[in-house]
Amino acid sequence: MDSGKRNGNGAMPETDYEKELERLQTDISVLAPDALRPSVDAGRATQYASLLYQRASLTGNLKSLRDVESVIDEVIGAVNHAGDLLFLKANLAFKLHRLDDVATILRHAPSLCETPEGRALRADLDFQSGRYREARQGYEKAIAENRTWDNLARLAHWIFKMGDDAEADRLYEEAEDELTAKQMRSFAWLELQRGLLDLEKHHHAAAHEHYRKAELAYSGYWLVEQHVAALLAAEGHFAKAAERYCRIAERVPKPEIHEAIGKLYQMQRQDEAEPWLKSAETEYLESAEAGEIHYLHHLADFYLHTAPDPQRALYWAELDAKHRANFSTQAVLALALYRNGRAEEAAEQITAALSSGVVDDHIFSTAAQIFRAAGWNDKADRYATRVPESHGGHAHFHMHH
Amino acid sequence: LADHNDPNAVNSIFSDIDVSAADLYDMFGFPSSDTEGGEKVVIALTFASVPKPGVLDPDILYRIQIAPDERVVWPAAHEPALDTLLGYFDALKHKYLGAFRPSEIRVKVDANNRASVRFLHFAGGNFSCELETNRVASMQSPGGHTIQAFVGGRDDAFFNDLPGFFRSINYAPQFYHVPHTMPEARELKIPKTLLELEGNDLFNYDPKFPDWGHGFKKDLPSGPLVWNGTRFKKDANGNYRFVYSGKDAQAGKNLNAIILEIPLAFLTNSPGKHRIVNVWGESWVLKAAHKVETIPDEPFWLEHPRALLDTVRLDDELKKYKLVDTDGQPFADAALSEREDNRQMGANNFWLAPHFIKRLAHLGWGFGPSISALGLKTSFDHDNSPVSVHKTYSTVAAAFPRVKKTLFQELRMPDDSWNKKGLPIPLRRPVEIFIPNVNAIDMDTTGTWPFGRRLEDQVATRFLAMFLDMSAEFNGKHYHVELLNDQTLWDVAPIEPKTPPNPLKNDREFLHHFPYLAEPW
Repeated sequence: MDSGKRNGNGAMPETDYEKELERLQTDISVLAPDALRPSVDAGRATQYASLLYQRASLTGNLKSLRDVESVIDEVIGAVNHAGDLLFLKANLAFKLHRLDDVATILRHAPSLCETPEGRALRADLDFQSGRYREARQGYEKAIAENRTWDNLARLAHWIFKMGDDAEADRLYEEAEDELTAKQMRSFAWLELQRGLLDLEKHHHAAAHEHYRKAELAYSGYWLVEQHVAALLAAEGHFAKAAERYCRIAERVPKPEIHEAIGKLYQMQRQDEAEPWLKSAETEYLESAEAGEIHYLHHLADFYLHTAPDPQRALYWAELDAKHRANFSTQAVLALALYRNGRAEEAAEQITAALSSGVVDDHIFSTAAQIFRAAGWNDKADRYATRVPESHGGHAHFHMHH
Repeated sequence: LADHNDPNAVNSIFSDIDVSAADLYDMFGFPSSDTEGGEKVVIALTFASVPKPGVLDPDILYRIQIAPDERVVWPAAHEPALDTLLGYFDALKHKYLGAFRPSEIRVKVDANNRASVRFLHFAGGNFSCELETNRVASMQSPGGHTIQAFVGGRDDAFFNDLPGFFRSINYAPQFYHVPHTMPEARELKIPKTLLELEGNDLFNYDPKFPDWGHGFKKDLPSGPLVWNGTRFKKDANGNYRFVYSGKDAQAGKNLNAIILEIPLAFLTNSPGKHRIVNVWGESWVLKAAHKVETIPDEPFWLEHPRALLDTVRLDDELKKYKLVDTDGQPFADAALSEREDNRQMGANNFWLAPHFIKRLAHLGWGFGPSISALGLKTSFDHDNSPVSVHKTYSTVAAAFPRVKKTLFQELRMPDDSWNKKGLPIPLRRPVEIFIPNVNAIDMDTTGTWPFGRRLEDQVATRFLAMFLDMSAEFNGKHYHVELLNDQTLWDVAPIEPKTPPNPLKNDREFLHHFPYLAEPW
């Protein structure tokens, strides 16, 4: 038995997640000593930066991801052809919702946009920036050129958000069929997306089955556990959900997990909720005060739903929508305006969100509220009838994925 | 991190592909010299030794497809013409898209590295066996035929200066870190050549870095990745510099292999008539969705894998896998760019025929002038160009006149030893060899390439010989497929180093008995 193959707890890695993480760690430690030395070896340095990025993404560690960016920047300055690293940087910026940065990189590296990966990223950027038609065209073009699982999944997400659940699920299933036994984590991710589709439709048993398959495909992944916890909460199993989230919090430094625990405790053990919520709020604020965009929508949600403070909610929602104007940020901004008694402006914002064509119970529910407050009863009735009754059950528990 | 529909949130953001057990290397095939009990054919499919030599990947299914057939004689009387060629491809298309159904052998291993070998649709019946890997095994068919099998690790039987070949086609990833976002910088737009080009600093041998291209890579230079010279490079003595070194880049390397020795009478009911055994290999990788099905919820299943396997109907089996790689002819990928994932067509590659003609013309503009510069005659019409040219074609009609002779000329053999029975067997032509992409083993020959492929064949150099004019003579003898392996030619050629392009023999002696490939290192 190789003693070097142990995880941080001294135990042999057992789950697929642990094994992959250990492989990444090993590869990183092999490259680390020389990767950034003067007269950088472009191949090694690029691989090193890419591995760091993968590790940060896999572990859900935002701080690590921030650190990766400085490594990427260092390597960009040291190699002749930085296309791969610019693409890596653009992906990182996208992950952190810095859409302006993504656009800037793509503008300054036009050859990137000629690659299949660059075209897919451009379409993602369009989607997040509210250019839905361009995004769909981009996805369809990417699929026409190369029918890869990830592009099928991108289009599936677009279609899901626009309300065609059956077609979205069909595309996710087709994406799964493109994956091999060497891509089980990606398969698990697709199962999670299919589970979310079912969750939106309140088909909880079907969602559980997708999540079970995800765990079977790629065991030990906190992301799967996070989805299961959210599903349990949606079913009203608050204690079980909180227990799951606590387990995740031990492994993954994510403030949104802390917020989820706090919210669940609010429903059961109010006294235990406070420290979790405080921790989440502190981290969100630290991130925002550092100029990051990533947690702005979490902050707006936090002050709308978890610890209501309409003025603060509006501040963060406005800032978020300024950076990325899409149906999601517009709907949150609309609700924040409404909560601040600015019903007409709220109606404008929610109208903008709805004009995207999005089909979403939460957004419809918000729209019904706002339109009624603005005196547009016909519209309010129209959207109220599109919200299923079951939506009211545990609507106050909403977890970002 | 909010993933917000980011499918590749964790994956390497690039579509870089690691060495995989699905990477097929070679498809060997030749008549066995052991004819006791009847004729037999030896077939060896080799592939990457992943996870390690002697241990196969249980997620991969290997298929060896076999189609015995009559020997077809090319209508030699016809003047080579594009119409003839297109007619040939059309006939192939009808054959392979029609009722044609080859027999096949499927091989995979279980989690304990025990191999399952299944014979399907053979004249001698269907049957299956489970074998210990890394051991020679003898199997009995329902009809009493004895088949020898070996599944496991061996020495890499390919002996070749692969970096030399990549240098000849200016394949940058062998020499440089080529960013994934620069696919256009893979095969650079510099003339392909057998001789170094004057001023081609991007690829010419650099004595400061003897390991360059042999594991060591440079950072891709900034600036234009082109060559603006006008002639081949010559040293002070007037000698050209060979892009090849003659050294074996595969020395000391291992692979995994499926090796079989099969009676011809098991393959066909008409062994006297079906003298050609067409064979090609495929690798398939299990789809993720079906891997989940086989991941046990209960330990019971681990102990009884057969219980699961028995529930799988054969017809449905392939639906659970994805085709990754095919292998029939050596250098088919170079000739046809079949390394592209969407071109893994195997025997059904007739649709690549137009691409093959254009690609061959592209290669010819590189290799043809190189051959002429050495004082040899080439089959490629390059208008007496004094130096290699980078030229691509958009139409078959424009390319065809250039490659007509290369495509249709008979590839002469160095002597008659290949024709062991002295039968009137026509020599093969490149057009017949690469499309379809199968190893067509002629049972009345020794099976040396192109009449099959023997382990000792230096096929890389024979591939280059396609560009020689087989009607020309050297030292009073017609050119032949082995000419470029002849040291006496290089001794008098104005070139350094004075070596055949590729090594003449494998780093390990092959065995004279089954499984023929040498022991692993």
